[in-house]
Amino acid sequence: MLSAISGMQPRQLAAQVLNFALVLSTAFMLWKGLSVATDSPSPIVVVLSGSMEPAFQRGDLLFLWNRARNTQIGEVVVYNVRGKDIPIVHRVVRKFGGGIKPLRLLTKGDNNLADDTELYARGQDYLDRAADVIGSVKGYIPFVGYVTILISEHPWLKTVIFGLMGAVVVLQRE
Amino acid sequence: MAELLERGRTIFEGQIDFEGQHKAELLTTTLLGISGFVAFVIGYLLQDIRLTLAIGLGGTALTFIAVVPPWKAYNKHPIAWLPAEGTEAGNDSPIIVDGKKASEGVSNLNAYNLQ
Amino acid sequence: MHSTLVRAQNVFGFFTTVAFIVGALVAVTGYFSLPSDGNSLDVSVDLKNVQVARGRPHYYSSKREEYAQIRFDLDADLSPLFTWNTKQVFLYIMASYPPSVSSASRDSKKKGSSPSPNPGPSNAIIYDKIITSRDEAHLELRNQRSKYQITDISGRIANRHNATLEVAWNVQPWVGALTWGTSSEGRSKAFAFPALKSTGAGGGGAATATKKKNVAGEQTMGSAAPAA
Repeated sequence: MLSAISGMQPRQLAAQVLNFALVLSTAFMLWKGLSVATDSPSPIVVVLSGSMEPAFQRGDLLFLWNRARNTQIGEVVVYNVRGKDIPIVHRVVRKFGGGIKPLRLLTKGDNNLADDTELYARGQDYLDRAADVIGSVKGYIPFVGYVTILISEHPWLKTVIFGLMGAVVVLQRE
Repeated sequence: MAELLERGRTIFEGQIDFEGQHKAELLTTTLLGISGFVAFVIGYLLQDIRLTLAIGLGGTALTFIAVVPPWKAYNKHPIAWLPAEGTEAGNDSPIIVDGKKASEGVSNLNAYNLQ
Repeated sequence: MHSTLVRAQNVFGFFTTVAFIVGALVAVTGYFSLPSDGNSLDVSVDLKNVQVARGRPHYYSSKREEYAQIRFDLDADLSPLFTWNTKQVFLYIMASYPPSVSSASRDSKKKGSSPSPNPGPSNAIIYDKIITSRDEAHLELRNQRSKYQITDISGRIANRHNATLEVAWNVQPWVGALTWGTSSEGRSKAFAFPALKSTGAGGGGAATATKKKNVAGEQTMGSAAPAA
């Protein structure tokens, strides 16, 4: 593996590094561009829990839109609980206020029996649309995000992947 | 150990000849294209999206089996290399082939294939 | 395409392209197979009974507040919403009512005006149903009890006028865009939340002030003002 790198011409090595940097920066730019277009800090999210089944299963990919500030009841929103950084995807089941007043929402998972009052921060009864919600679900692609769940839940898979990459490097002729 | 690794590399590499590469390329495009088209049309006509998924995934699996392993059909046109002009007597030819000069030749060939 | 790894990469790469195109076609055909206008659907909802009590609306509620319990009739045939790309239809009945009195007093004079800085109506889902196949898409509910009580952020809901029930749905596709819809037929006549009923069902002690018997909701449905 080291011989593969040391055997390269400096120009070839530089080209490889630049190519890698180009791929990374393009991905980053696309992500941030989408973030600006949708006005959401995280315009694409992966579903992590089964609380919205059967609509959303774990690993499904959701596309968010955060420019419609007057969220309607029945919409599915992604919110962050204050103090915790776990995004939750649930449906709006109650709505109060709006206009110049803060829009207050209560959410519930379709598959849950109770609403989300218990999930919110201590003393918080409703979500604040402007502060807590990071987007409303507009588009859906099933299953595609499952890889991220597998990797985050089974850390040994990372080892396997690195092992496979190592094997590829060893088995490849330069 | 080195021999074992070399044999492993040969199996892993699964080289096929130029004609074979052309065939594999064509087969990938047509098989996947057709299975995607058939999946959509059949699914739409029968209004059954599960059928679309099944046909699409089935076609993809078939393509993988047909294209990825180095089947004999992809190695029917081996390149007739010119005989090595022995400059240094006493060197066995296989060693030269695996030497640095030869490997450069291989990577140049790869670069040529990409065009 | 010279080595196994490159061939596998190429096949997988082209597979993702084909899958993306087929997925897009499915999403587009599914979207255009949906009825373009919710009014073409056969949907209606009628209020049968509404009662307001005071107590804890849920076992996990921390505070005692006024909540409304509703009974309704629902007729709905949502089978046109089932295209080949429909994974589920989320049917819900929402109650709309004017916001709390403090802000509503200003709002009531400007009914039907264009968007104002005042809050819009408050909404609560009182009933929902997940429908996953065309066979279940025909609903006929009689005197159905609401699944969720209505509460207000102010803690008071009694004697509030101009409330309506409305049927709405969210179509969840297998792939593509989520869509929402309502029908102008699927809306009840305006009604009012009655005065507080004596027994607080959800709470502990039912020591409520007003001991006014309110027999049935139909009597309070007289308020003729149409829904805004």
